[in-house]
Amino acid sequence: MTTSETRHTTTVAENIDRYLRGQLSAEELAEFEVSMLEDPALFEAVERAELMHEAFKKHHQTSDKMDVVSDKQKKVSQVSFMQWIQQPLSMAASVVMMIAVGFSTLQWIHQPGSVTNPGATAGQAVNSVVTLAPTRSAGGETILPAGVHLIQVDVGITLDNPDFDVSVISQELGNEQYQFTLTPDSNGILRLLTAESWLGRYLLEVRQRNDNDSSVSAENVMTYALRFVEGNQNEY
Amino acid sequence: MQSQYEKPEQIAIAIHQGNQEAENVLLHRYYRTVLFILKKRVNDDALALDLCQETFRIMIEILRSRQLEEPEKLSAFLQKTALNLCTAENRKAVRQRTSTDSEQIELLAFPGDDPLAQIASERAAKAVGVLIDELKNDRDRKILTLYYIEEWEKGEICERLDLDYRHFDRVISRARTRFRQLAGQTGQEEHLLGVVQ
Repeated sequence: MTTSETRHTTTVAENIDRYLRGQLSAEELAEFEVSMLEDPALFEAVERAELMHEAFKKHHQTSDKMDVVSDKQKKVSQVSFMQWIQQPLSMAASVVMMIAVGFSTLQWIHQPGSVTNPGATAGQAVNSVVTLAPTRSAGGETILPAGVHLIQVDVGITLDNPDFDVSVISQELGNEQYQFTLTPDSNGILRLLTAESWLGRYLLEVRQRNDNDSSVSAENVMTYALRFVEGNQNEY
Repeated sequence: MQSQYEKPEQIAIAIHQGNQEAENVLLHRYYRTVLFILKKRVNDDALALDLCQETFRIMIEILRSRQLEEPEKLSAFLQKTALNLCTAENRKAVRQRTSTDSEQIELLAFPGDDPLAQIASERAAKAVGVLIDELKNDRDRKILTLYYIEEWEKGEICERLDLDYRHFDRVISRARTRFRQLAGQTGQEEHLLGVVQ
């Protein structure tokens, strides 16, 4: 393509763009329209150029929409906690959340079957889970290595779902005693965690509580003998 | 359409002589262009379609009834007829919605929603995305944005971006060429074929 041809092509293309933008004078417009009717190649070039103009605008609009979405995402991520909490709705939401957390905590504390930790050993690893079957006598000793154990006492499922008074008495120290009230879970299991400091023999008594009758029959008392020893349980 | 009526004056004379094929050639050769022109003029597709049909109805009636003084200026005559109808419409003159006696004209009518045009438009938008991504520097992107989106004049863009006119022409020319490659001739041809058929 010669320089002259290139210049002519550029001029035609510019005229096409001016036509599409409505920038031609009335006289130029009429002349250009007649040229399109006379020259099918010119008309096709105009159609192609129009498609390109529209495509640019369509692409630009799409990009704008994506930018808006992106900006919104950036704003969300850039809001600091202090800015967020200062908003009225955020403060209200925080209050509601705190109340909800408070209720949840209270529910958890009073939840039937929740784990009781008499020795305040929270945060320590549980060495084992020991399930004790229903029994009316202490029977043989259950020997455990010193450490935290999850004791599960199977008290059975009852219709009235009573609470149980649980006592842990050190047979060697005599006066060391823990007492608390527990409610079994829906499977009739009471749970408590032993303390890491426990060593020696302990008697675990589980008594069914009857609010209408203060007397406790022997049938409603379950006793377990526990012995905590230093070293590995496998040695025993 | 290959025919013996290559020149406008041949079409005009043949129609005057009562040649039906010449009328078909007239429609096939000019209909799309006249409709395009009218769409640009009135900015209303439905109205443009009405005016286009009216233009050809008038043209065929005139060509049948009398010989044009300058049959070689058939294109100018068509353009003038279409423009007169536009002017009449713009003046809110009484324009009756006419029905044409030519079945061929009805057959050439654009459908309301042209799926092929929609496909071509979507393909074109994707092509522009690729085209922009392929540009190596921000200045060239800026040139295209200012020219095609903001519709600035060439002189304004060159002045603002401190550009040589030749560089501007190169960027725009390359963009046009690349767009043609990316948008593909096939889609355009399908579109055109759909319109003609």
